[in-house]
Amino acid sequence: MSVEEAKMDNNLIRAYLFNDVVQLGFGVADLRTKKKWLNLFLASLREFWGISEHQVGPQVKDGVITGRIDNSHCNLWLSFQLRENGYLHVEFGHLDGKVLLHHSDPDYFVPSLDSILDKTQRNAAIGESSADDIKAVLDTCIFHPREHLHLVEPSVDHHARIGSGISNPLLYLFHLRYQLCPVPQIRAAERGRLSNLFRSAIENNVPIGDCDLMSTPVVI
Amino acid sequence: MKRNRFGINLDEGIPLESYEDYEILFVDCFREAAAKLRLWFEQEDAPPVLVGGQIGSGKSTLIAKAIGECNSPPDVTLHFDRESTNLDIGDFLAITLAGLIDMAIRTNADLSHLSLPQELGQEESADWRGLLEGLRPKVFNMQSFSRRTHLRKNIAENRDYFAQAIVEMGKQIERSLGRSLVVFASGIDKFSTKEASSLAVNDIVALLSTFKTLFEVNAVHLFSKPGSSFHVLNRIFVPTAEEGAILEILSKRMGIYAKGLEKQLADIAGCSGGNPRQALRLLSHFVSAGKNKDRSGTEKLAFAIRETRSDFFSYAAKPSAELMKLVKGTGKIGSALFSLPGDRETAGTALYGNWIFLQQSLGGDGWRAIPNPLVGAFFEHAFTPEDPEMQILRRFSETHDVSPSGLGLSRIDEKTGKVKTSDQLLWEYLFSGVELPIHCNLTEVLDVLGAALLSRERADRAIIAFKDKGIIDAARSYLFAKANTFEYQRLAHIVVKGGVGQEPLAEIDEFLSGATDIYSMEFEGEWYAQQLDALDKRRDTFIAKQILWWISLDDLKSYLPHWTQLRQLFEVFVLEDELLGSISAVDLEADLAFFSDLVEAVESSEGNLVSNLRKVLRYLHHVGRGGEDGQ
Repeated sequence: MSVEEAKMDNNLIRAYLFNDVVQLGFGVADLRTKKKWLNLFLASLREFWGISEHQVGPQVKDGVITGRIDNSHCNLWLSFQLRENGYLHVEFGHLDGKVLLHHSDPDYFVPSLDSILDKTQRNAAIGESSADDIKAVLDTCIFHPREHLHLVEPSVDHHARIGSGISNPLLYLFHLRYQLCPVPQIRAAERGRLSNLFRSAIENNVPIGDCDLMSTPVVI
Repeated sequence: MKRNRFGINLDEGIPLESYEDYEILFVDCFREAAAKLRLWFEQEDAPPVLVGGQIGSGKSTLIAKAIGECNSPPDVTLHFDRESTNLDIGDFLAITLAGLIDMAIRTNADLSHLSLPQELGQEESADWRGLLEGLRPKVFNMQSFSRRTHLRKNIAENRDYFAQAIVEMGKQIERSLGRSLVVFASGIDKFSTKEASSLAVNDIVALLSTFKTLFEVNAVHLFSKPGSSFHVLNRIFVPTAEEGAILEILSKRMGIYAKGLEKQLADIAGCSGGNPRQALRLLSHFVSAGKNKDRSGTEKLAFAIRETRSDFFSYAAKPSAELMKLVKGTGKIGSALFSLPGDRETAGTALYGNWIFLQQSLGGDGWRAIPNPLVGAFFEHAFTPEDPEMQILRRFSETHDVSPSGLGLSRIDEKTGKVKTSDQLLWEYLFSGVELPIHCNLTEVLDVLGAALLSRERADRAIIAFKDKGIIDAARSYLFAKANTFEYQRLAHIVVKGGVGQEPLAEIDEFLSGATDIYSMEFEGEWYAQQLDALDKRRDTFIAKQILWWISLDDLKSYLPHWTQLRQLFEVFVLEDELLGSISAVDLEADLAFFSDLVEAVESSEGNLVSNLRKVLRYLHHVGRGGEDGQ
């Protein structure tokens, strides 16, 4: 068998990377950890977006976590509900009222890479992956989701791509942090920061800490 | 203060300080004044000079920038607005003496012919460091405070002797340096020419005029009458800024979010009258108003005008309507009016309190002046078409929104039964906050305080007035809980008593010398005028801190007229007894449910939040408002 034939298929490598990004970055399971994650997530938005106000803190009732994400400077008001079973409801509001509802319903099937992929091959796949592979995976998860919507509002940058095929609720919320950030320099720096962060986490196969994930990149 | 490089940077218009401040936010508004200032620093034998402007004009920022860029920064900086407690000559001389002793020690000046340390109670005549510690203690406690008070009293009783000693010491330092001693007398601007302390200020200015001294003064000091020590000095006037420069300041403050707000920012610049701090306060309230998505653009601007006017002018000493009409009608004012005995024409009041803005000298006695756009129309019975506020709001409402109605006022005129015009509605809305601070329920207070209290990176200050003392413990707990929603902040609270036999400024000094994140103080007792005036002068002591003052509304009404300077730094809220209506037990329980199991340590943001929320919940249950729906 030649060296060429032994190389793992690039799509398969990226599938392993994709699975790692979701599991190591957003694989939060229990309610307490989710609450902590969401609290930090909302707190991070003020600095990341460069706005003057903190977000209203999340609340929980009957196992449903609710929260609001406001950026009045872009005339955008979002509210979300995250149920115990992972059901995510997000309302995008604009000056004139609700403009978009996003639902992610776990009662409906989506292929789970985690259960399909052969775990014994993970390390080999990661070993063969390149920086471009990480970039491609982060693009589709966060920076440029393959399926996406544009909010057709003058106050929202057209570069904001709201992913419509993201089934992990925390990943979905996290990608909004990037997509709704109007500062090009922060967006560019965030791409570099997350590439390094995820590369390191994947190479060491360790989950990413909430604080690391929610940091704001330093712009030189 | 940590700045956001690309986004929004709001504060009350405090002077820029750090390299980052200047890099991100500075706008060169006063080129002529800056050039004169640079020249003054460069000339070794330059005579003393007054650098004067109105409150919030940007003089501190201008001076700080000139000092940062010059080759010969001041040898001695005296902060007359940070240490005074009695506002008498003893304070002023002691502050000066401490500054010069410090410099003499640093330059090894020969002070052997002076024996001030021994004369002021040190064991050895050469113990200058001991004397300096007594005059300017590094550690603040009752003992050091008593020692300082004793020294200042002693100095006041022998004022002529110590004044002469200061001159001697300065000359000795100059010999040691081989050049002129450069002194920066900061904070003279906080002392109005009408107060009792003006005599002491006059004496200290005369004394420091022996040296190359830069005096930071208010515009009123530039118009002092012959015989005053200010009168003979050279002066550099910091005028109002051009509207374009104000617009640039506002745009920089909004960062990336300025895009799309050009018209609104232009309107705010128009309302600023060319005063940078007023522009920034308007912007801050405008942004805050935007959190309520139901507010139209017009409402946001009207809200900003109303709130800013309330912050700066509620209960303030007013100039006469005749004077304001004169300024409005002629667009100028004669400088002789500013120094009339007893301020007969109330021009000094108008100038010191920013009721009018001076724009530039017209030569001779005349100055181009305008009424402050926030208050000019207050002296009319109704808006006239040419009133800048009316023009701005009408233009704003025409271009941005449907109409200026919907401002939360009754649209039916009770007398005539007719629907009010837009102008009537606007007029009512704008003036609803002139005589009283804005009344807010707790939610609104929280909204405005949010950006400040919820972040350690900000340093803002608020006065919360209350009618019902019974609710403030719960209100305070709620605010403190919210302050800890995202990050752990240490909170300290004391009751400060004013009145006869009390030393409230000493208590405040001691409290502020402790390490905490939010300093909360409740004012009690019958503070008398001198204590209130002294506190007003200490404005800049509070700049770098997050401070909450709790004062009963009745007391606040009598305090505010004394606080021309302080009100520039504090926002004032009246906490109505709406606590029960604005916080529901259900919401509190949802907050508690969210945070309770996140508590890992008592001294953590979650621990503090939960502890305070429980206090509020107990209060709501105690007063019987903790029902199913919290109503």
